[in-house]
Amino acid sequence: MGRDVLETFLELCREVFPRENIMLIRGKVKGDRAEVNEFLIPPFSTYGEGFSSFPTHMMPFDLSIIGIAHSHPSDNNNPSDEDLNNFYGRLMVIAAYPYNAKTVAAYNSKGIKIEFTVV
Amino acid sequence: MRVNAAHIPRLFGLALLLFAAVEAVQMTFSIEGELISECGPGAQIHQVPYGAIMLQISGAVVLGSLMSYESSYVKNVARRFNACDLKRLFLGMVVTGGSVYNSGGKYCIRFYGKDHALHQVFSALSYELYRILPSILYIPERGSYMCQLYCKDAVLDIKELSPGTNARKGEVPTIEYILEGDWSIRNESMRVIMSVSGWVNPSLKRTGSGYSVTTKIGLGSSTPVQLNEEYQILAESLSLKLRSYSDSRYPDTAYLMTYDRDSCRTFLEMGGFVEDCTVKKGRYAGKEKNAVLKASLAIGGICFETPSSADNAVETGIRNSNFELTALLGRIMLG
Repeated sequence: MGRDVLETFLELCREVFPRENIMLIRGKVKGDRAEVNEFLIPPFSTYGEGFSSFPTHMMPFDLSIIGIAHSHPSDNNNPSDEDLNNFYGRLMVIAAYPYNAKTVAAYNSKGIKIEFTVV
Repeated sequence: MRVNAAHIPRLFGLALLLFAAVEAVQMTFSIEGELISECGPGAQIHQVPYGAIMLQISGAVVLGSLMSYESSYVKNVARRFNACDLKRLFLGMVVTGGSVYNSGGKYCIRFYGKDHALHQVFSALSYELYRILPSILYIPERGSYMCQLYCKDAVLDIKELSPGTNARKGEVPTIEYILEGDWSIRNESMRVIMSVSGWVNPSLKRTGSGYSVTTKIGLGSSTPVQLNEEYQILAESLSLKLRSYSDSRYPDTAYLMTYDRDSCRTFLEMGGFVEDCTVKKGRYAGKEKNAVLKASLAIGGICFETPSSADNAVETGIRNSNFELTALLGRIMLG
């Protein structure tokens, strides 16, 4: 994941705090590795204080979207039941307060934390 | 303005209340006048009869509230239907959850159940039809309620409309009178019958990719076959596809049930169960039936990884049943 890409996501998380940010992850998956190129704002997304959502029927048909990133207003970056039930794509990125590189975590569809590096 | 008999007690209560208010205002002014005229060193201040005023006001309020006592559901149906149609609803309640006794010169209809809301409906319906407001008894040993209506007219009506409604003789009652009604009263009767004896049960089903919630609604458990067939005819006339099942342990009885989501949805669109009717047993005991039905229908098509996450989703749906869940269904929602 590029540093400037991550910073863009985190900046938006800070912007909507205390509400939760939600973004689509654009990138490439190669085997068991994924490369994140961009974060996209989903159309008609809703940023709530306990949730964030967007209508799936408005999602573009874009195979380069490999997951969803969102923020938690607390310092807990573990995925909730809702997060896992609504898992989309190959990975999920969760940023916790205070939204810096150390409070970001990535998960696979099983809810298992996966390593990521910022380059 | 036309005033029918049902409005008289309420108007009387309102008149009492207005009278008390006028009296209070008049008393206040007259005391004030006396105080001004007699204001002097030797003036005696009259004792203000606050007690009498308060007694009148509180009496009027109590009378007014007692006389305007009515279930909101019955208030609504009484506005829409005439007495004949209300009798259809009454018949539905008695056939499904009540019994009739008329031995030894006593004429009594009893209504049993664990839903206080339905007893309020029964009580208010009795008042609307026969001008008798039976009280609701709570039986702590059984955790249920009972409502006894001592009314000869009511008993004779039920015996005429459904001669078999007699718990002691074990005859089979009939709801033909309901089936003869028009669509709207059949719809309301189905709601009442389902509220008294119907049930909703979300259950988990293992699928290839996890667990999903299936919804089933049903009516009765050991209903006499003939009455069950009539229930089925009533349901079919309202586009509810309820299938008849029988339990081998109880011969000559049957019950209706469906897994069909469209039928469940149709029932919900009809108005669902009467408000505040609760699920009696199982995991969702105590929850409102409509909320459980809405929640299980809303998450019906979703696949969950674990049974507990499916249960949690139903629970969340029940808690948030005031929201229109279907509007949120086509969304990816993260918490």
